[in-house]
Formats: sequence, structure tokens, C-alpha cells
Amino acid sequence: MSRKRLNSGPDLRTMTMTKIVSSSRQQRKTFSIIGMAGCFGLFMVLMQLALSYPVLAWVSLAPALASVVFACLWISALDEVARQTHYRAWSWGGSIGLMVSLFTFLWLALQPGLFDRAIGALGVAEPAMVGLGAGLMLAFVPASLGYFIWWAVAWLRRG
Amino acid sequence: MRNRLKVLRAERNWSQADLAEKLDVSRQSVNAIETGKYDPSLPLAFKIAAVFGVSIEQIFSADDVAQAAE
Repeated sequence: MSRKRLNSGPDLRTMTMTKIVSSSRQQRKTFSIIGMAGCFGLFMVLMQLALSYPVLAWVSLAPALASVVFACLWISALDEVARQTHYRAWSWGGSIGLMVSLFTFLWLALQPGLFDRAIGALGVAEPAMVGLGAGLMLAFVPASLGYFIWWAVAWLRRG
Repeated sequence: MRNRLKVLRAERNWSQADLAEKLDVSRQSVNAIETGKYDPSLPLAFKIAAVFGVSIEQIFSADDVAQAAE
């Protein structure tokens, strides 16, 4: 009897339940995206204010950590196909990006005096901090770009 | 992995969006499974089987098993 009902068409009770679950998934996605954007905005504002009030740099850690929580909520709200696409994009795109970083680091290491010349040309006051920041960016940006490009191609190819 | 998702869906006159709603996934996810671009996890495969009221084996088969049967 129950199999017959399943085969004959949609079960209204199941349909209602599914609709509730679907809208809940969508709501969680929207909520987490707004949360991440809000945290990022707050983080940027606090970092700007930290130039005048250095203690705010520590306060900015709160929205940074909160954004990680929202990111976890967002990834858990995705269905498994979308989630796997993000995992694959991070694995392949991110790894290719890290390879680009590695080769760039190697190339820079083989150019003696290049960093000093660049710092001299820019005329920055704190070369060590600039060097640290540039190193972090060089490690982070290509991996993120690789992830984004891989994900964007997968997204454009979806049916 | 081969699947009979499209056939089963057509038998019931369901669109990809209808099936997606029943499975609580996106329409694109249904399309990815249907075209073989993505093999679903065991929990999702069970869910698909339950929605159609058939066993998993009646929907999914390994490529080599399907070829041997032909």
C-alpha cells in the first residue's frame, strides 16, 4: 500500500516536510552569508580604527573568529554536491595556487637584492613588516585565486 | 557508476526541480547525479531509493557490472 502510494505520485505529508526542510536550508545559507559579510565589514572597520586605537586590532579578532563560525554554518547548509564542489576546488585549485606561490618564492630567492631594491623604490618605513605582509599575501592570494577559479569553472559547467 | 534516475523520473512525470525538492538538494545537484558527473553518498542514494520506492540496486549500478550484464 505504502509502496503503491510512493509510486503513484508525491506524498503530500512528505512534500510539506521537504518544503520546510528546503526553506530551512536556504534560510541557513542566507543567514550564514549575511553573517560572514557582516563580520568581514566589521573586521575591516575595526582594522581601520586600529590605526588610531591599536587596542582595536585585538577586538577585530572577535568578528574574524565569528566569520569562521558562519563559514562552518554555510558549508553545512550546502547540499552534498555543492559541498563536494567546494572541497574539490579547495583541494585542486588551492594546491595549484600553492604551487604558484612556491615557484614564485623560489624565483624571488634566486634574485639577490631584489627585495631590498623593491623596498628602496617604494620607500617604506618598516621593510620587515612589509616583507612579512607580502610573504603572507603571496602564500594566501594564489591559493584563494586557484580555489575561486576552479569553483567558478565548476559552477559555470553545472547543468 | 550508471543510474536510471532520468527513466524513473520520467515514469513519474517529475521534473528535476520536483525531484530536487523531494531530496532537499538543488536542481543542479540532481542534474549532476543524473548525468553521472557526481556519484551520490550512501545516505543520499538511500534517500533517492526511498523517494522512488525502489531499492538502490534498481537505480544505481557499477559501470563494469552494467557492461557485464549487456
